[in-house]
Amino acid sequence: MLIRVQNLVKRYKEVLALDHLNLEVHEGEILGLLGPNGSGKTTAINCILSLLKYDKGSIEVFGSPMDPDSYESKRQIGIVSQNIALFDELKVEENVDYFCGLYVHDVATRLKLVNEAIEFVGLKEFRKFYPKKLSGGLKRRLNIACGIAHKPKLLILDEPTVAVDPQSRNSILEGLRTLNQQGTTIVYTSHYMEEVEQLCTRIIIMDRGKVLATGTKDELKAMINTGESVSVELFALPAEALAGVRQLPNVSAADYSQNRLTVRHVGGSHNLITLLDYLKSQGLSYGRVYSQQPTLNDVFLEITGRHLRDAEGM
Amino acid sequence: MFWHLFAYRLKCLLRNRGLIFWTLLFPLFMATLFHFAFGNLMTTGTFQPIKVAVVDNVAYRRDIGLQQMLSAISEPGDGQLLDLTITDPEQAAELLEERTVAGTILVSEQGVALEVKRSGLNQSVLKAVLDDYVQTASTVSQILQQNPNAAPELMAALQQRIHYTVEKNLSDAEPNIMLIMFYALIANTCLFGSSWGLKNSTDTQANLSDQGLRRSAAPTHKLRIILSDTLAALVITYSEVLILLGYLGLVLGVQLGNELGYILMIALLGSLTGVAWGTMFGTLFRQSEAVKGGIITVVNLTFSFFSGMMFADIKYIVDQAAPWFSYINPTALISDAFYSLYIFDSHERFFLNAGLLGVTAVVLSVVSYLGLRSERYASL
Amino acid sequence: MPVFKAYFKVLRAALPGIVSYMAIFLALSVVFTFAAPSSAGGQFTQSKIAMAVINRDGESPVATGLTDYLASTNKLVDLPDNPDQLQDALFFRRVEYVVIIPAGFEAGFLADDDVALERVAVPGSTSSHYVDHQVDKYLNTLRLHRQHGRTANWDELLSAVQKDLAKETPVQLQTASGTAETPGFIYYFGYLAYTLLAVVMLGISTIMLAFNKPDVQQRTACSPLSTRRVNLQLAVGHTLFAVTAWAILMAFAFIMYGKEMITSGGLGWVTLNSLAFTIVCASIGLLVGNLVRDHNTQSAAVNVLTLGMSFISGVFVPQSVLSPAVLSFAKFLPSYWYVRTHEAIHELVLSPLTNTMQIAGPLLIQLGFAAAIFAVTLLLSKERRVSMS
Repeated sequence: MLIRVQNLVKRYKEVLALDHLNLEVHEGEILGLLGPNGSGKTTAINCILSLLKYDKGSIEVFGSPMDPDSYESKRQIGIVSQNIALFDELKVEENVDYFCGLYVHDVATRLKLVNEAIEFVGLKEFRKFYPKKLSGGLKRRLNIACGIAHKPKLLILDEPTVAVDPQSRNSILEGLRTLNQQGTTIVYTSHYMEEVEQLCTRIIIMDRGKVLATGTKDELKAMINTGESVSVELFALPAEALAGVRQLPNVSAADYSQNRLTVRHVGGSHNLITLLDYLKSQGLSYGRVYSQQPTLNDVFLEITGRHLRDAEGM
Repeated sequence: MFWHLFAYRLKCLLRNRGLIFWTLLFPLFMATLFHFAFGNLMTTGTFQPIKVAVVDNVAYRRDIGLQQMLSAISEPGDGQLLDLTITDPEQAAELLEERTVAGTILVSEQGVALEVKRSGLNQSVLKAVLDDYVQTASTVSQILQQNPNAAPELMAALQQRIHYTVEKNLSDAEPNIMLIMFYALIANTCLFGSSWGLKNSTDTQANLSDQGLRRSAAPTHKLRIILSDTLAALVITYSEVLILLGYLGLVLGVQLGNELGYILMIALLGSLTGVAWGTMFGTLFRQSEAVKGGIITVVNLTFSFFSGMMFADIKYIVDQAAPWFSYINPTALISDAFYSLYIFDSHERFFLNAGLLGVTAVVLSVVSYLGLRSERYASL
Repeated sequence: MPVFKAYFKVLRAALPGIVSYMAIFLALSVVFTFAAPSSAGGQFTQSKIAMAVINRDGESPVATGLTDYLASTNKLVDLPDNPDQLQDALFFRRVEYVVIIPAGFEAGFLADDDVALERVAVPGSTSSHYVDHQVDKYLNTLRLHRQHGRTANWDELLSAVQKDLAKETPVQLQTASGTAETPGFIYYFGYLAYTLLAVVMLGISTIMLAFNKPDVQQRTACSPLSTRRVNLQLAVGHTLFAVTAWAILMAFAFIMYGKEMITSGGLGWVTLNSLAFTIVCASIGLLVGNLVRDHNTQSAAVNVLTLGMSFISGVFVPQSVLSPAVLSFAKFLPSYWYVRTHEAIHELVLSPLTNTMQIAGPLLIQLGFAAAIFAVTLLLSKERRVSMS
């Protein structure tokens, strides 16, 4: 267990930012912290890093309580903050060297680490550039390089891909996967569910300072009633056939309108084949078939009644 | 480790061209302007014989005593008081109208009279000279009334006028008020160190900047970061002050006194006070760096104003009317320390200033440290 | 008038600076106007020097007599016999002259020994000559009476000396033409150069900085407004702004010195001179606004130019105390000619016979500077437009 947060409460005057938050990070995983802006993700991370005062609860990192002067724990952590935290007056390599130097004191080791980090994020040709001369995406990559150069055991990234072009985003996600394979445990916060779905081995959904659900993406999807949804184009559908569809295993709802049959399932497998077999057996000929898997957004919607994206800017 | 922090901080600060301009080039520029503007005021002993017109008429030609007296004090040399132009009434009037001469001496049946266009010191000297003449006449007549036989020896005695005053210097220092403006400029440059301190505080605190957040999350002891940052700011400020001092002393020839050790000491204390003051101000408030920088500039200029950077007399007025303000005004403490070093032989007042400045620097530093040290913030 | 409207919105950014320059200038004008000693009109007043007598010779009649005499002709300040405090007071000109009567001075004086008083003063200053003369006069008169007169006692001796020294030369103060003392508005319009320069330059360069930003410029270029129209609207804005700033400063001058401005006959000339200099300031503002790229450089340029020009041209200290080398350099600055014009107006106010060509000449030179700076600015901005496209 790398991080254990228990009953964490953080209040900003009237606002309850963290409401008895419980959270664990396991070694070797890529944990996604998913939630709309204002759900408490960043607050939780800043508490874990011992940057923020909190009102109640306990935080353990690497098995020992976390304090502002827990330098041994801090040494194993890398952070990539939401905002770009670079010195405009330092060149690309100087920035990486500076931040790496806060963790690694040996000059020779550091030189190697800095080169690796710069290569890792693909900024080799920009070593001598000042951050001002870099595009937004390249700046983000430099921001990441500064957080990972010292090869932390635990890497915490707080929305590292905000306002990043798709190419840079893909290369960043690619890189994180590589790091994870090399043994880095990663905590990744985002309100982009696609990213989290793509990358994370385990996901925690947060809203209003609370953990709403935890699990792999499949576990999360299984948790909700919304399962696979299948649409079939049909010219006609007798009432008894529709009733028959509703009787099929795993079917939660079926509707027919405007020459289209929509069937919702709850879990199960081979749902599509079962449905098509049934339609064939009834002698019905069908046109195009669509199948849609539930998304994390469906999960979020189911749990909170809100869309993830809708909550942005809260 | 410390070297890593310090060297990078030095790099960071030195590459800030805007701040380098305001903290180094601007003071040098102001020093140059002060020099051009006050350079001539700095050199004293510029007494020029007073130009005066004498109307050349019958009455004047008859007054041998006046002629002798006037020519005696118009004799080129050390004691020359007047620069005479003996001329006709028209030209005399024109010279006076043009203000080429300070006054016109007109002798008539009624005696000697002076015509002037204004009441000034030069005119007063002219009057004193002419008064001397009538007063001497009065002396002679009084004495001869009492002692008619004294005439011959009295005439001889009149010829030798004794000078009763000898120059004395309280110290080697030239009492030149313009120096105050230069001293205040040095003090102001020390306080410009606050810009570096302000930048440090912003970059150190997690609740003020992202850089601060990143540095706070790192396994580096906060005290180390604070010390290395402060040392970098101090090295820069101190170097800037020394460059200014060198420029003032060696290039512009501004008198700073001869006690180099004390000068270096007060410059260091002043630089430290400047840096600590900026750090403390930056730590205590959460406004943007631009807003805080603006406030600090206004406060620094106010301090400088009251220590005489714009009008040297202000310093004396404040010292007389509200001495306590000079004790809490760091700019006044620094400039007064330079002034005391230059002007006084004893070091009492210098050490009073240095001591108060030291206390100020310590208080500011302690408050800064309490604000900056490792802690959790209420909000980020 | 879209550009024109935007003009005054952009100007708001420079408003705090502009307002503080004006407020500080006006506040200081008020303070100095009321703090200035009012001159006694019509009568000649003899200068009194602030001085101190340090008597180490006890209550001797010579010391007392001399002190009384100096007290009647000068302004005596009580100072303790302590070198640091004397030095301090001398440095700040609280006293300009300190005379120390050493112990045993009277005894030596009476014995006709070579005795001397110690004098601490600014060496070679006029005031030091002035007081020296008084001290010598008193003691020499005393000596003559004592050596050659037949006075019976100290009282008689001192009163004889007093009688001599009460004799005075009549002084006629000619005020038939012009004002004897420099009127307050002359000081106001002297320092005005700095404030005008700072305010007008700051305002106009802020506008130009905003309108010269590459994306703003491109957007304006894409709009249906022709470059000529844009520039015209900007020019109207600049004129309106500069004239307003000038008018405000003029209005304050009027409030504070209205009457003497009219009676002295200087009103017309100071109006023309300050207006001419406003045009100069506007031209410099345009040039700076076209040269700088960001606010940091702008504020550096504005400060360096205003302070530099003011110091070197004799705005802060009279041109008469500037060295010839500085002055010959300053001739290349328009502010020098403003000061020259102003000093000629000063002369005129003091004696109306002054040749008005002395005023008109430097005034025209200022306008020449303005025209030249405008031309350079125009050339620069044209070149830049060409290089951009």
